[in-house]
Amino acid sequence: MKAKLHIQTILSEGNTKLGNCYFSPPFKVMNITEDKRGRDLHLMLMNSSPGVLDDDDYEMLIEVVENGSLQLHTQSYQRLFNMQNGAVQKMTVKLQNGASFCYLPHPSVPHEKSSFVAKNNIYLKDSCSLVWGEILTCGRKLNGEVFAFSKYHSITNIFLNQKLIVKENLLMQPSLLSPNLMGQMEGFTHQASLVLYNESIDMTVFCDAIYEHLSLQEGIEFGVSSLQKNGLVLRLLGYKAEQLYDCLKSTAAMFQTQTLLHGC
Amino acid sequence: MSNNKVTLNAEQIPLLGGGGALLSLLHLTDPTLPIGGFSHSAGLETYVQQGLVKDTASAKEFVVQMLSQNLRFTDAAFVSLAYEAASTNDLQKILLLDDECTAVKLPKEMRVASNKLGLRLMKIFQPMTDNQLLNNYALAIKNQDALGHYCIAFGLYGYAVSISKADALYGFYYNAAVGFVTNAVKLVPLSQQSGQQILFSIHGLISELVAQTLEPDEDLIGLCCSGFDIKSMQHERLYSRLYMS
Repeated sequence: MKAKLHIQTILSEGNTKLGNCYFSPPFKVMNITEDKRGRDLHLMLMNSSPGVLDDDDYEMLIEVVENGSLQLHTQSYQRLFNMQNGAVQKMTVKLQNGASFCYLPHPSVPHEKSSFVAKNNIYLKDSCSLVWGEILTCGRKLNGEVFAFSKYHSITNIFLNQKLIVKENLLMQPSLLSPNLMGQMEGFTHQASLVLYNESIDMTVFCDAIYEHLSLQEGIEFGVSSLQKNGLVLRLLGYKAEQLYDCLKSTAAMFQTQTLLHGC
Repeated sequence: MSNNKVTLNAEQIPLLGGGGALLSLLHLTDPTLPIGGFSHSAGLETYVQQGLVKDTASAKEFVVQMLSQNLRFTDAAFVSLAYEAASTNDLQKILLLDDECTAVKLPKEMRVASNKLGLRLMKIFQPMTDNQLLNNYALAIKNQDALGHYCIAFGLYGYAVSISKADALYGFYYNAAVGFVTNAVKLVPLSQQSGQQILFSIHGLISELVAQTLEPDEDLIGLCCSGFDIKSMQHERLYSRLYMS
């Protein structure tokens, strides 16, 4: 199924509101902002389909107005079903000056023989703030489907004023390359990554804070490192989707507290 | 010979056969070239301290996976693409490759290592050449329009001194392999003989990798190696460190 989604935001008295919003089935968008006087707009991205099916072709465009702030939530784990031809998803996020965007989707669960390609392009301008996470599981582990999917390929490009600053290129084809190899997942079954970007936070100091925070977790391996400019990347390996999801959420919450402290 | 090729500014003594390109290749890929390669372990020090690389077999696993999963899709691919861009004198493409190389090297130490080695390589080779494209790349770095990376400088020099692309890639992979093996011999430690056995055993692999890297698939540039990335990031926080990465 071909589906499109286009979200635009507007700013009203300093608060971000939903502007034009277009979506075709199976997408739905719900405004779940609790604090109507708050600065942030919270939207729930819903999908009436049980998951991503063969031949699905999703195209999403999200635009955040100057000085606007959008947190896009997902409803549940993203299931990628058994496929012949595969499915594709293209997501474009455009932030104007001073805008912030947070997207921490639920983990993806690729079923046996699923084949999924995602291309994400995120365009930042001056003084933007970004939280971008991704979690990939090995599949339905309790059903015996451990790395039984055909392909999962997710390419995320982050541009700052049109200059590429981050490229994440995650490709897993377990039948061609064992995830257990040294340098890959090394025996773990789940992986997560988080990119944080903000010009006003000292990322070296914040890396230390994240390191301290996650050091308390058991059953994971992780690393955190600062980007060339104003950002950091966190990578995690583990055995439980919920644990990794919690790690990303708690880290993002720390980040958002920092951004508030620094007045942006 | 296109305008973009140079003769090293050394004594002009006729060289036998293809000796000129061979000498240039040996010089460019010399593991003792004083660019600081010996001070980078690319995460190996973390693997050794955590007891994951502890003998010849695990050291070989590290070398093989580093070459075939990491370098093939990042540094070696950039050597190939930079070489290609040099052949069409395409500075814009080189600057895009430089951005992309910075963008895919997410662990700080991998990025810094690539940058430091690149700047040192250029410092040594640039005065010895007079090549417009190389000068423009150096100028872009100076003006902060580019960061500067070893692999990209390597590809540019490889083309400039008339080394064939395949030979440049052979040299690049071999130089990297020697670096990993030397570090493993010191860190694990392994006997010199074990280190040499690893090198002999990957001749075939290097040949395959060269063939696969001649025309890299741009969709696969910068493929993520979660394990290597994490160990490189953890290296920043090791209690005691002999290496810078």
